[in-house]
Amino acid sequence: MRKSLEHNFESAIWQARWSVLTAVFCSSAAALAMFYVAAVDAFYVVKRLLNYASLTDVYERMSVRANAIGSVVEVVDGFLLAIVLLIFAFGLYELYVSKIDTAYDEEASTHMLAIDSLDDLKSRLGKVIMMILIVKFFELAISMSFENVYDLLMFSGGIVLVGGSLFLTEFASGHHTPKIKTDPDREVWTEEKRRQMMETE
Amino acid sequence: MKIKQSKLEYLFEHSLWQLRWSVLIAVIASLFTALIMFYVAAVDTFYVLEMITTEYAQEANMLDRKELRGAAVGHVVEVIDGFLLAVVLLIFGYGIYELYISRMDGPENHEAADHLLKVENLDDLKARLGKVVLMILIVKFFEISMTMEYEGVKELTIFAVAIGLIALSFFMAEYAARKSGQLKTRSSDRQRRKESLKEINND
Repeated sequence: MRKSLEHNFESAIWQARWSVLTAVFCSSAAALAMFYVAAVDAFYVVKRLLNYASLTDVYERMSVRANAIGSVVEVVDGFLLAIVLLIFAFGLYELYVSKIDTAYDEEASTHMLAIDSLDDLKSRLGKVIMMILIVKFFELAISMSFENVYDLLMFSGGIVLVGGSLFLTEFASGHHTPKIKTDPDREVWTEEKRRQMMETE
Repeated sequence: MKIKQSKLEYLFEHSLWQLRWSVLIAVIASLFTALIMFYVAAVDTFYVLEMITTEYAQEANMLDRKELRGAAVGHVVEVIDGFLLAVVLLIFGYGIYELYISRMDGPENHEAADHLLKVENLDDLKARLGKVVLMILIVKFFEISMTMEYEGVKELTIFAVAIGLIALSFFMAEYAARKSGQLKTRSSDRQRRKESLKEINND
């Protein structure tokens, strides 16, 4: 009697893990929305820059240019956030519901399904927050006017600090895990190619 | 020699030991708060999506769009943070149950058990809570900084100092949290398979 009560209770509370599915759905939906936002931004940037050649005044061109660079960086930042949201959704699903079997042999799975633990999820969120903050700093800096040498000095101090924080976030994630490579397979491939060439010689 | 135990002592110890069932309250409450947090974050997501889909493309004015965008990004990060909190509450509930009541026998071999049932002691519970609180604080900082107005180079520099401090605390938390050999998902499987393939090739 007691055993079956325990069993029922345990299987009941174990069902609570299905609630993670809401997080998976919401995170994927938010990812799609962020892709949309970044795409709209990109559309407006392109639209605004189409008449760049017809701007004859140097100063006007300079301000348009600074603005454009800011928006382009912002667009890229938006896409990054969207990708992180996608990785987040897949990671939650793989960690707490079940592994995604169909994706196992896909080429992109090394990078899309790269979440190993809850800490990993958290650190990814942290890193993307740092990136957005840095982009924010960049945007503010690009539209600011500097009046004297002290301003310039302070600006360089700010740049060093941002560089330091970038270093810290990278270092934190890179210290215990293998270094992030864009495509580890390519390295193996080039290695094999080189060996083949040596053999034919 | 057998130590004699008086009837009174036995009764007292027995009733004292029954107190541990009160932990069940914590388990159930923790699971319910987890469900509610999932619900809250889902509602947040719905409103962010609604805002983005109805307003964003129509807003042709660049400055207005920028403001809208900042708000959207802030909310999205907040949503993710809410989901993280909910998952931690779920792990917390299961952890308390396993530590103080009984092992969960059924799901032991389940795929997700590695990650949902991995609290090892009380310190582990505390560390988890600490880390999630830190993350929420960082998100709070992020939200405030996104909506703040900055004027002049001095404020810009102060902003950079604040970013540096956040990076430092993030670094410290990360450094404390990461242990090697925690790999347990597909990516680690893949790595293991690659390594075994390499070994076969070497032979």
